Amino acid sequence: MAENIIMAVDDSPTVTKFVSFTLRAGGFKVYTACDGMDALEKLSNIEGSVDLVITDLNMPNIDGYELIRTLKANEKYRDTPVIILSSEENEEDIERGKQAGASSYLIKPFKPDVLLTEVGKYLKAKQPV
Amino acid sequence: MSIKNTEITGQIRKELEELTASIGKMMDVFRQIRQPIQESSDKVPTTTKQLERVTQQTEQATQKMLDIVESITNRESDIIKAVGQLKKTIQEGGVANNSGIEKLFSDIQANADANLNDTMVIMEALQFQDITSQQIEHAVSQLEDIDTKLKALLVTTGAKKDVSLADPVRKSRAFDPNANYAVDHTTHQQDVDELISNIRKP
Repeated sequence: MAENIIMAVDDSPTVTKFVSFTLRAGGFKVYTACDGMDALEKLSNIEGSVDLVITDLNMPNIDGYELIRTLKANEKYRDTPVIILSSEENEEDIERGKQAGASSYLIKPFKPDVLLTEVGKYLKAKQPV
Repeated sequence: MSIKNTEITGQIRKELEELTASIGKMMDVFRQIRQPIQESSDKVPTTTKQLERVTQQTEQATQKMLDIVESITNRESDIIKAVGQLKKTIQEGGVANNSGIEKLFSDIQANADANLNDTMVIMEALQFQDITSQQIEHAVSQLEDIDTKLKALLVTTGAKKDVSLADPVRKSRAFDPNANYAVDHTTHQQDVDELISNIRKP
């Protein structure tokens, strides 16, 4: 059985590293991107598809909201769950994220078990490492 | 005599008119510079507080990591000691019916598990770098704004004819000005989950 693939998008290398580490330890395959534009480029080059996207909101070039809207407008990724991972915690941002099409919203700094639980709502880890 | 007085009066009037015009021009300059000075002045305390927060949160995260590293080091010492005792027991042939061995294995296992958990806590604490870098980016953008306003003032007041603006090469990161490391996000996350479940899908 193939591994579930997750794309983690954040302009902070510290965050992408920690998210990747947590998810790989949880049994997922992870791709990373440094902003929305990088994510879209990588997604278009990936063979097959990504099962879930985790994205920050404040990013250069293409921000998280635009990334989500672009994915939701794309037939291939319309139904792919998107989790927002952001330090923004006001209602306006949460609502904007949801309206853009995000499935969940996690606040930074995050705990690894919280991230894995949230991801687990949409995907099942094939084999914990 | 009266002609001289008239000349002097005329000269004084001319001087006074020029002085009034000068004061008028200065008033215009003051009006122009009042707002940027006020804005710059308002930004300084915010920037100072933000940088103080960075220092505090960096220190807090560092202390936390140092405490965890100390615990890991202590457990590692216990593991090394226990492994030494195991080796000695095995070499002396006292493995059979030795109840102490089982306890040594349990202790090693418990310490190794605790160390694994603690390394995860260290990684979690390292997220302070992302949060504080956003705070620093915000402080830098505030300082750049002040810099731009002050340079514009130099041009307005005539102190300089032209000034270069902030370094356009500097790579800035998108940031959340309210990013905070030093709070317990557990309660916030519950509120966020509740909120997001109540928002209708588009």
